[in-house]
Amino acid sequence: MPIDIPPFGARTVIWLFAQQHLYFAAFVLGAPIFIVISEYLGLRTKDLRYERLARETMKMVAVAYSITAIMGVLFSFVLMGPYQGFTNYLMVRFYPVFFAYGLLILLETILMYTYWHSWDALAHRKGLHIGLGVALNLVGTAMMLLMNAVGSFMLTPPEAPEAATLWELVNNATWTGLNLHRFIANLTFGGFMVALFGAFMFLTAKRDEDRAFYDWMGFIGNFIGVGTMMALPIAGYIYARELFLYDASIATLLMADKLSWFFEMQGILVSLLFLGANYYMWLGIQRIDKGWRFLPYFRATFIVVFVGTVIWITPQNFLPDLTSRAEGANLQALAIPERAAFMGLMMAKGLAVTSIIIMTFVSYLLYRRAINTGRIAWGTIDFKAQYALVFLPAVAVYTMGLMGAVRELARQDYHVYRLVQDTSPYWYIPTLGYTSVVVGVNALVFLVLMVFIFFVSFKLGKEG
Amino acid sequence: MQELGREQQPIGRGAAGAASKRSVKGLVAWARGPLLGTLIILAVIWIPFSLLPAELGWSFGTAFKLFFSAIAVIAGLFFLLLKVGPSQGRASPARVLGSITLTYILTVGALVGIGLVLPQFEVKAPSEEVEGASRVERGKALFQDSGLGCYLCHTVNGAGGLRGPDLAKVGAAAATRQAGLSADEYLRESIANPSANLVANYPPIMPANFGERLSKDQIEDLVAYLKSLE
Repeated sequence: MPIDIPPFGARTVIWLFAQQHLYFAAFVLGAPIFIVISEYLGLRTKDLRYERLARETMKMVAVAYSITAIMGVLFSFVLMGPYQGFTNYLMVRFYPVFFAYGLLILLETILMYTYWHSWDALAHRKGLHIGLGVALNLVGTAMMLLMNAVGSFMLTPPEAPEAATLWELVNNATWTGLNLHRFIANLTFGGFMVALFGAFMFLTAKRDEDRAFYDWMGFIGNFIGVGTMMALPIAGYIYARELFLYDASIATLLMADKLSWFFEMQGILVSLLFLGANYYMWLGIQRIDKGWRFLPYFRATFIVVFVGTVIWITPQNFLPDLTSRAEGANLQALAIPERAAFMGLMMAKGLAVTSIIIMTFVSYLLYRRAINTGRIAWGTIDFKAQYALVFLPAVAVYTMGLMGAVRELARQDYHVYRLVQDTSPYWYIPTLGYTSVVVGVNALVFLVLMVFIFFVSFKLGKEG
Repeated sequence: MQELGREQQPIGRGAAGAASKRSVKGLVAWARGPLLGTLIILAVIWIPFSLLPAELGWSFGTAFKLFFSAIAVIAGLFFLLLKVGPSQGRASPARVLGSITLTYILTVGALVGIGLVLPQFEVKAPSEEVEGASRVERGKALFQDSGLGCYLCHTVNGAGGLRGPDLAKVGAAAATRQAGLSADEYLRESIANPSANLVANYPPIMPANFGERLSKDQIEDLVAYLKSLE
């Protein structure tokens, strides 16, 4: 390794900047999708809240955009020093992609600032303004597709990249799956960030009118976050299937070997997300006239969510890896008993996840039913609901960091799987504990930067 | 925009409970439902399953019992949270920021804590451990290497996966599996080209690229190990 970055080591420092870049990229790519939809809904329904939601979220995106770019540059610079050979390899293979990416950043920047700063100027030409927003999203999505090509290539390159065309490198075995998963996950992430922002503004609002608006904003953010999150397991399944078809041994490493406890953790995290979202709806339904009538049904959904979680996260074996077994350990006691072995199978876990998703949908239907029979008193929601809206982004940020790490660690001791070996001192797969600490630090750094964005956007800004 | 300030309905028995939970007795009465539910689940986890004979196949080890117990306690706490009465009020932005930051840090901290207490694994280079070992020992280390993952699908001596055939006695059986193939040849071909020798009732899921991923020497190590299983 030509250059290291003490005291944390090059890999951990690169990990930090790469993850921060991805967090902010997810926000600035995901949020504008529903910003434009919200602006359109405002135009169609004449409900001013949609317009205000779009505008206030865009204000944050405009600040977050710079941080995304800065993190991207820092990530590139810290990567290039320690891993010169590998970055050179990628640059040679993907030079046209990187060049196009640079041009798209320029175009995206122009569109983003034009969209944001023309909000008042184009107030009477909403169609044109929404058109700008749509163009912004198209360019943003194209940028994501380009970088996903490089990321997915590193894990699933074609057999002979030297002989492959650029399109074959881009359209590798898991490009589609990664694109689908990231597109949906960005929307989820953006939704939860809006909910977090709504919670902060709700709790600090001085006027009832503002409190009513931010209550609604938190609800919409959570609705987007949870609604899109329900599709994520399906997208994840498609991605994992592509990976399995490419090389079954990667899939077994992930799901049944050293990385399997990362997926146990994922089960816990996703269950917490669904539980938190349902809890928010439980509190939300109580600000609807006679909404309390539906509470017993909610209790039943919570029970199903917990039972589903137990089945989902019950491991087949506490020590799936034979090489790590301690001498004298009672192996039988660490394996699931024969009659309960069904709980360790993918079929049972798939059904458990499905039941959790269905129950969340049922909660939403109950909420809709309550709205149909009573009016919502916006602004009167229990304060605990706002802390649920803080809990959800915290879990989402951690989940995103952990699963991103899993995808990188699946390459094992390769930069490009089976093609470019990682010969640095950091070739190994770290433990879940170490990964968890790095992800936790990343999540906290992200919070600090998001607070900065909130502060700059709404407390220092002169615009209304 | 909808009308503001509508009265909220009480959350279950939360409002009444808030007044009575000042004493320990009151607290227990308030928490009765979730407390009782959790205790019943804990009793089911720890008592009946411990009394059942192991031959019935329902004997969960202590690790599983602790695992289920932790979930039961968390579920109990969650249902207790549902009974907490509504909270309203106003606070300064600094105080709100502090409480939000604290909630976020506690959440992330708890998740990091879970990540630290779950089982930990780290990857070691397979060749480092077996240098100078016999061919059978090297083959065994390869078989148990997570990068290859043989044991994930094959059982040996009662340990391993069930997706592929049990290899406990493959050393003895290999010589008679295919007419004209010696045990060595059969095993070598089964590793490098698994679809050539499919065992009945098992789907063709074994990766076909072990012939490329393993060196000739490593394949011979694996063959020696598998032959030793009699």
